[in-house]
Amino acid sequence: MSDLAPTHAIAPASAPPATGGHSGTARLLVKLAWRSLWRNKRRTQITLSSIGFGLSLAIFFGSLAEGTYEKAEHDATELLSGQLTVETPTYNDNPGPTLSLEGAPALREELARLPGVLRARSLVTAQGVASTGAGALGVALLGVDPALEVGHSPLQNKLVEGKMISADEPRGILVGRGLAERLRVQPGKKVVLTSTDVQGNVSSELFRVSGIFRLGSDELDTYLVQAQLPLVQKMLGLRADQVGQIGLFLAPGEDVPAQVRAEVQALLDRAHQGSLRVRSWEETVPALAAWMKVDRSSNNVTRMLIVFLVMFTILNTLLMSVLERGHEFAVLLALGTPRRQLQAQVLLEVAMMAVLGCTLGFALGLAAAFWGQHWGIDLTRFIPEGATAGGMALDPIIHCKVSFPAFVKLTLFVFATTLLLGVWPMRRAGQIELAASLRTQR
Amino acid sequence: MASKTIVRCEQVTKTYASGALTVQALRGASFSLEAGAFATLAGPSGSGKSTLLNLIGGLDRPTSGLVEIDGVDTRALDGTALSKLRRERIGFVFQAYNLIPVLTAAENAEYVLLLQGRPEAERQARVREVLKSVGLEGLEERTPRELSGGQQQRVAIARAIAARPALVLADEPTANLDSKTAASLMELMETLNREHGVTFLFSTHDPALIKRARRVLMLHDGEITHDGPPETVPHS
Repeated sequence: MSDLAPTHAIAPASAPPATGGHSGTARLLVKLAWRSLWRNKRRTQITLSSIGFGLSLAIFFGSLAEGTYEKAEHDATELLSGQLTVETPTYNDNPGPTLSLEGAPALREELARLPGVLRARSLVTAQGVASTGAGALGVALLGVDPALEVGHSPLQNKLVEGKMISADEPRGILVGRGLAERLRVQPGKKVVLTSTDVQGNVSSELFRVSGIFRLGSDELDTYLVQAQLPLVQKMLGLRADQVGQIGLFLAPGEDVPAQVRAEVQALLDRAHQGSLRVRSWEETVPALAAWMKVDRSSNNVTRMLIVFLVMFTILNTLLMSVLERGHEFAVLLALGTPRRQLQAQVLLEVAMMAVLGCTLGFALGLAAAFWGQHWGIDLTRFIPEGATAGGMALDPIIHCKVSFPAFVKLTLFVFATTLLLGVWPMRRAGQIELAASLRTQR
Repeated sequence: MASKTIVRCEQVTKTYASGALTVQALRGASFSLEAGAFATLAGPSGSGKSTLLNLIGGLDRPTSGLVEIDGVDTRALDGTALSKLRRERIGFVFQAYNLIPVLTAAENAEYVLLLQGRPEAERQARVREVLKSVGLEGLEERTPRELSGGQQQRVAIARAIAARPALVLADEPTANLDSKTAASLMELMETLNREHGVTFLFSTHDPALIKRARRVLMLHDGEITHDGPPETVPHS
């Protein structure tokens, strides 16, 4: 009798199995799962495309939205105040010269030296009237140091006529197109600005238009006037060390604003005994912050809908691939395959599908986001009149924001969701009626 | 020395219920099978051959009665233990071959050995040996779709005997084959039984194959109506 003879000394059913083949079983599982995945190539390719396309869309649109928010925040903070603003506690209730902070240059330099702060600028704001021979209009006057605006001010790219204000022309101002049209002024023309000084007296100064900007917001384009800080201070009766606000611009990083804010507040408490406070841009431009919050939520819901629609398509595919293999799984069970091993094989197939689909989706999404970051999408043709949100003009050329942590988080979410969807087919595979499924022919 | 009893069935019944309808597929079947047997379950379609094979193979549970495999009372076993019993003591050959389509011939033959956790060297040696014994040398790397029906059934037999089970159950193993291939496959099973001592219990309704068994269990309407050598089978 040869070695093929039955071994009646086979371990009884209750004895532990022979050892030494666990890595072999693992390899078998991987082999079965991988090859099963490619049995129906077209279906697998379609499923992978669904995962990849859905994820890449979610990544791309998410990065586009974040890019829009980032640009809107950037423009608003560069134009109006800063990512963090230092001011007197009641300044927001009645912005004007009477609530100015003192010792501004020294404080600005001290704040600029704090870790996480890239630069700081002084700002004076006031309500006033701009008048020419053609008429008079109420305006918001922003007094800034032009040297600190170079390379940062969003107005630089929005000039439609003339040039930016500079120290060479101390009376130069920038006005919006709407205001320029109503006052019928062009660059080089004179404008008288009138406001109320710290004493409560009416005060006027003669300015000359350096440039005309168009932000795309009717409100801002007919209301905003940017002038040079020294002349605005003089007109309002402020000393050179008195400004309304000090705006801070911060290094990138999710945690940076909170950390710097805490440090700034500690410095103010220490040096100014509570006479000054620090506020975030969300507090100084609340309408924009509110719009971003609502829009971000809405975008997240849309992205999740995309993901869930894709996921349910995938669930259908996964379930089908298990149900149509009922006979085959019954054969495996008949041969003595433990049910949990069968379930592991199904889950492994799903995991492989998820890894491949998510890798594809991440790569496509990343490529699309990089493209969108570099080239941007010009919506001028679709919204020639411009778009505003939260009272601020939105740049019609939108760029993606490439954020690896956000992309990885979304990819992991899709991966985990796909795996979770695999639980159902996995359970179905474990519930196969052995004898009944064997009776059905393939 | 008396041969070891591999299968013992005592008053086995099986009733299927479908709504209000009940079908009694087996009505108290009793028989024993010794090691080294080459026996067939014969009878017309619907006589209960497959049902009895399923019960002996631990694929289904009897409604009543005892099924004992290699000394193990299957009534006491839960699903996991039944699975282990099948893996370690029973080899299956199905009518429709039922090879794993994504595995090669060698990998199919190796499958149960892997489930048993046998070391790689032992697995490779056994696979070479069984594929040689069923005449499939040189076809080890072919997948089922690259093999003919007869070759696929040989792989199925190789898979069934690779783990040296106490019993090989074959449910109409030649039903999907032409007569020449069927005869060749029967010769292979006979050779494995005669030269290697593999115990076979197969079902068939083909008179030509029934004659080749050494023992015939005739089933009719769920009852064993005859048990003996083929020449004693009543012509009716």
